[in-house]
Amino acid sequence: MNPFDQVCALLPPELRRRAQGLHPLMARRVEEIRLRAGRSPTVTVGADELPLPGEGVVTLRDLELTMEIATRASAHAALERVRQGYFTFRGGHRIGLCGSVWTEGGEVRNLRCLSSLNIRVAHAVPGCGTTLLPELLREGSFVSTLLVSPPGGGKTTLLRDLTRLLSDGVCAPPVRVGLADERGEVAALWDGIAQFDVGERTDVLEGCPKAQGLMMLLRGMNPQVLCCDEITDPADLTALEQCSSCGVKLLSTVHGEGVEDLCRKPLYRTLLSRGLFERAVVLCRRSEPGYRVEVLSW
Amino acid sequence: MKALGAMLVIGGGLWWGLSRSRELSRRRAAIEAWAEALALLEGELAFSLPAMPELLEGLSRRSRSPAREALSAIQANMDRLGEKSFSQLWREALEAHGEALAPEDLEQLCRLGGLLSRRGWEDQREAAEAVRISLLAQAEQLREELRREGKSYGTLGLALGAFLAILLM
Repeated sequence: MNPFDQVCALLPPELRRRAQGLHPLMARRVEEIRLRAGRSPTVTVGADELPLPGEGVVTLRDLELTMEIATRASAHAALERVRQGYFTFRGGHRIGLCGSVWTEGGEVRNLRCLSSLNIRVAHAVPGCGTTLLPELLREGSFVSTLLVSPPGGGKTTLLRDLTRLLSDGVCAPPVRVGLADERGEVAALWDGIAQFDVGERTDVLEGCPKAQGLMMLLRGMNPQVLCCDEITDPADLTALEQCSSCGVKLLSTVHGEGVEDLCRKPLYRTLLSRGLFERAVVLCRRSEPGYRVEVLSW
Repeated sequence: MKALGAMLVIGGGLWWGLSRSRELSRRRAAIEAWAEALALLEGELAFSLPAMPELLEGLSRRSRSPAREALSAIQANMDRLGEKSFSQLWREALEAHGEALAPEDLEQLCRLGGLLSRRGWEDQREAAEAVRISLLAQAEQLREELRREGKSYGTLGLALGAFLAILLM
């Protein structure tokens, strides 16, 4: 089942019918399905947000049914993610949640009433890192690399493919890779099996906070390369430093427009100043379809 | 013929009395089976937090009838989630396998379905516990009623039948 059809399977029957009414060429390019209570359902294709074919608006029942399907009626098992405002389901697709929040003691307890959902379609692009990888090697060995782009720029997709290429030994000898997949979007484990190909020699730790996950992988799985998505916390930085000091190479992603943009943010300025990464790959959208890739080294 | 008719009327009265007793007994057994199932649910929510399909499968395997059949039916219908909400699937299964329960017992259990798919584990556990305690109190009342009135129903039925027989003769 292709990614768009996997996401459509989440929708209640009427919305599913409307989504599947999209032209196949359009459906293949859909990045998000957006459901807002009282509004027409829409899809995001590149920079455009387009309505789904058909009449009618999204109802609260549509939103609740979608979440029930996505969580397999298991809010109790999904609540921790729901509290963070998103939920990742089978296939690595992510649902962002909005609504009225119920707090207790200053902490989010639950979403009381949904108002909108943003279903992001996860696309794997096998081979997207093939031409890039040779530029991330020195004397045949991978060097620690940071992938930089704004949200939606393709960092996770590229991270996934580079993880696979390193693990499978494309362009360089194969290495043991540890993947700290906190949000379950890179490998998308389902019943223990990665829904995306992340390589033969990759060990995946899903759902664990990154800093802890990196240390668990370091201590338990003897990795040669450690991968993680979206460094956002000082604890992540500390963990990466400890891993690097043990001789492990790093592959990670950060939000940003480029290296200069990163230098303006305290956490990333600190990250760069520690010299943990030898390469930065800046992804930016030039126009549809395609990306411009810059490789920086210092 | 009159004697035969009288015997049939008396027999009918006795049967009515005994079936009333049986009905109470069946209801008590059904309530206790559901109370046990809810205790298992609370334990699963507190200690392992499985996803709903696995939770239902485990509960149906370890529960007694009629809870077992209802839970099994809900699990089997989980692929219809989306066409119907979980609370609808829950209600349908309970109604299909709840003939031994009284309407108020059924309603308590049906309301629980609305919480199970949508709330955190603590809220679900508390709700299940509240329903279980209420069901156990009801079961205790029924046990007491059967102890006091069980034999009386049979005797009452017999007496009613005899009275009708005499009246008709």
